[in-house]
Amino acid sequence: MYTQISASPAQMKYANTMYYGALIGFVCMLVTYFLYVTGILAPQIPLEKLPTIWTHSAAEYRAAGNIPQGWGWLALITKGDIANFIGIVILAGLTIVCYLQLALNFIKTKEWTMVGIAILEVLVLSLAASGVLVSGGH
Amino acid sequence: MFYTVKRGLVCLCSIVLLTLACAPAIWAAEEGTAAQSQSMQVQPAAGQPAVAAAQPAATTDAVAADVVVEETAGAGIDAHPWWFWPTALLFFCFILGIIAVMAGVGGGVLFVPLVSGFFPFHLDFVRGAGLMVALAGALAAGPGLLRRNFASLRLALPVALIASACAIVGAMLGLALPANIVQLCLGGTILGIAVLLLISKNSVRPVVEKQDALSIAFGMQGMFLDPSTGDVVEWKTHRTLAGLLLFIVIGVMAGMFGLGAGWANVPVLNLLMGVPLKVGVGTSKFLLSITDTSAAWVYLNQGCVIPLMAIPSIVGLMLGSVVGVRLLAVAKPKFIRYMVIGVLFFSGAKALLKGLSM
Repeated sequence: MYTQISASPAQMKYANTMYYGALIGFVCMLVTYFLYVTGILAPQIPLEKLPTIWTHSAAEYRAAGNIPQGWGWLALITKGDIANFIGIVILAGLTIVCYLQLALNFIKTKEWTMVGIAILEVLVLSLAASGVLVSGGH
Repeated sequence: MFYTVKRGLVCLCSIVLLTLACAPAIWAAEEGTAAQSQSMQVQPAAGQPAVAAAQPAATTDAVAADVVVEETAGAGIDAHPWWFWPTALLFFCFILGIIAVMAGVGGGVLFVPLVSGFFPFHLDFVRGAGLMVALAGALAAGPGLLRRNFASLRLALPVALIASACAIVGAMLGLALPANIVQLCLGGTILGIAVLLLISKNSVRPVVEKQDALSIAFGMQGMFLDPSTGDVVEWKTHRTLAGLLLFIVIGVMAGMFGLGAGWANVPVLNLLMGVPLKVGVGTSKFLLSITDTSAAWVYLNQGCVIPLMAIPSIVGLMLGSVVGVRLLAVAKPKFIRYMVIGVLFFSGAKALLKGLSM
């Protein structure tokens, strides 16, 4: 398998999932951004207030705009600025989907070391995505 | 070959040592001046507690209009309309994208020091946007690299696991440390990267005499068709354990500074592990889609991504990269590379000064 010049089937599947997932993510990101800056969707933090907030830390930004940590933004999904996270989250979550698919491929070919690595990676990324890891802030 | 590896590793280690050495000393100094560092008071609307994180999201509706932000005297209020900086960022990132492609560096390594130095955004948001920029670039380039076998999934899997886990640690560390310490460490790192780019001479096809046991176990080998020469190039890795250990450091730094990590991935894969340059560059770019994902989640969950600035950055840099690829045929990459190294020296020094003045 490793002596082939062309990419392996598992690698090709990963590439295709990555391609279509990224495409969907980029389109969502651009559409929601348009709805946000044109004012079609009212934002959580008024646009004109942002220049006075973005000069300060993320902790102060969250407090000033009442932006919840972790996945709390889902409750504010109808707000223009928060809706932008749909596309961003698709892009950030894409690798988890690709790895799950990869793990299934390796299970089929019985490459258990690679299955283990792929599952561990899914766990690491899921932990990061869960919002459980909260730093102290400054 | 040995000399090149040695020089690259010495430089990489010096960056790490500089970063680690700076942190405790500056942190100690920070303790004494903590009272002065607070330059802003945020007063939520009446009845709203100051820490929004403790609130249920549903109760926060329509509170934003009451947000009052008071700047202390001397800090100054930005008089520009809200669209000014995002628009400036779009054009700035467009130019950055062109330069980054022609200089052969990722966008993140230029984005963070330059935007934190010349734009009014807090470093938290610059790092969050920097990671999103690097992630978007990697997701856009990844499929093509994988399909052409210029990026190796088998090479990337073990490396990515280590780097992404450590990037989470780096991101948490970067968000927990005071901004001036991170700014100082960022300055030191950028100066180190500039030196690394200046002295490292990549090897197009390193010679690997014997594949080590770890490399065999992970299947870190392959072949690809080099379209520039028409040759079929076989490759395998050596010094795999040392390479994997270095990815611990690379992951931490990528997460801490939001820089992406192409500047470090390529020398380690190419010079240390013996991966051909094309596969090294391709796998490095693909790796960013995994390493930066884990760090990006931490920043995202902490509210460090402001869409109004992050999305123009992503769009600008991606459009710039497309134009950069077209201009590559007529440009003089060597001159641009030296120009970028000069810019990195300048922005690194500026980050250091900014950190000292905070």
